This record gives sequence, structure tokens and C-alpha cells, in this order.
Amino acid sequence: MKGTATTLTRVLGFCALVTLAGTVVLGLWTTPPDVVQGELVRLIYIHPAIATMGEVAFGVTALASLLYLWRRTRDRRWDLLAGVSAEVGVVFASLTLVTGSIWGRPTWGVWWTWDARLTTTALLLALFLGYLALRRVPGEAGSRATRSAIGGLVAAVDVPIVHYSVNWWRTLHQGSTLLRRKPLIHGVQLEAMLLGFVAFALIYAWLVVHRYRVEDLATRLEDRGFETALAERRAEADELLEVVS
Amino acid sequence: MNGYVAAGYLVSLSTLAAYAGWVVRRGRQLARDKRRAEAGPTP
Repeated sequence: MKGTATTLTRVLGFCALVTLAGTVVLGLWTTPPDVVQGELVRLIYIHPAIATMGEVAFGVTALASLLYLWRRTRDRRWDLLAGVSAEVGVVFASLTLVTGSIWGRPTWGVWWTWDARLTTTALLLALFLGYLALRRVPGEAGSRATRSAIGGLVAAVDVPIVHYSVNWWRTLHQGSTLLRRKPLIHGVQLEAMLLGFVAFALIYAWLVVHRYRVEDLATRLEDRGFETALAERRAEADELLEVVS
Repeated sequence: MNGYVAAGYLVSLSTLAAYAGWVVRRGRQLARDKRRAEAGPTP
């Protein structure tokens, strides 16, 4: 095995690329401009899907943290999954804010406004950046995982607040497009949006699987003292080179 | 094509591609390090 890829991840990656390509073609060229939003509706085929994957990623972190804290299911793998899902979630949450801001500038006239949805999303990103920083604080592996799990659960409290912010407060941000009795989008526009959800879900899964394997490999190398062995070998090689030259 | 739309797609796809590329490279690097470490010191 050259890296962290397997047949399963290759198939997953291929499906992610195909659905993403389909989303881009449908979103940028096949679908017509919207009556209200004009060309800017094309951002709606990716922005909600990216935002949802951010929420899913942080939800997975919360669930894995809970499973780590529960004595009967406590396992190092839950801690690893919580960490990698949070990292992928941070990428998605950052892109949510960026794409939302790009859509907001021509629509609302501003790059940023202290709207409930925007503010709670920014807070969510800050909380999980803090969570990732907490994971890097040195300490004994067990206690580090426990405090990270508690931190992950505390940070994830903001996830439902972000999701329901458009219902709980009067916001500038539009409400749900799909999760309502009569969806606001139809036909090829609906297809493009749903394909976008599939594409970004597959991308999330692919990233989490690979990132998990990388983190697992790094931890195992560290545990076995391979890093030290490598450093010693490199030092030996350098000495040998000096002698030869 | 609308400039805002193009920017949104470009930023999203390039960021995800860069992150995925970093993850793959890091995986390959660690797998190589593991193989070297398991091979033991060179004579």
C-alpha cells in the first residue's frame, strides 16, 4: 500500500468526483437563472450542501466524543474519529462562511452582517478551532482524549442553534429551501441542489476516511517509537555522508 | 458567467482539492516512513 488509499476509498473518491462534476455542470450551465436571484442562485447549489456537511461533521464529533466518554464504548478510535471529523468540519464551516459572504455581497450589499445565522456559524467555527487547539495541548493520552471529548460536546451545543437560528430569530438569512412542506425549488434546480448534497456528502466521507487513516498511522508510529528510530537512522546516514565526503 | 458565482465555486473546489491533496501526501509520507522504520537501519 503506497498511502492510505484502498479499493473502497478509490471507488468513493471516483463517485465523489463524478457527482461533483455533475453538480458543477448542472449548477453553472444547465440550470436557468432564477426569477428572483438571477445568476446568484447558482451558489445555492453548493452553499447549503457545504453548510450541512459542516453541521454533520460536528455532529459526528459530538457522537464520537459521547461514545468515548461512555465507559462501555470507550475506545481510542472514537477519539480519533472525533478529531478528524472536527478538522474536516472546520474546512466545511470556513467554506460556508466564504461562499455565504460571496452570495451576500451582491444580494444584501454587504460581505458580512451580524445576522443570527451568520453569527452562530462564525461562533461554531471559532468553537471548533478552539477544540482542535485543545486536542494539541500536551498531556497523557487518556486525559487528553477525555478533555477533548468534553470540549467537543460543549462546542457541538452550537450546532442545533445554527440550524434552527432562522426559525428562532427574525433573520436576514433565508429559511430552509428544502426542509419544508412545499420546497422553494423545483425541477432541474432541485436536481442540481440534491446532487450537490450527495457530492459533498461523498467528499466528506472520503476526507474523513483518509484523514482517519493518516491520524491512526501517525499515532501508531509515535506509539512504537518509530519517529525516534527514523531520527537515529537519519543521523547515522548524515554521519556516514560526512565521513564519505 | 457571474463573477461572484465563479469565485464561490473556485474557492470551494480549490480549497477542498488542496486539503485532499495534503491528506493524501501526508498519508504517503507516513506509509513511507513506516516502511523505512520497519526495514531497520541500513548497513
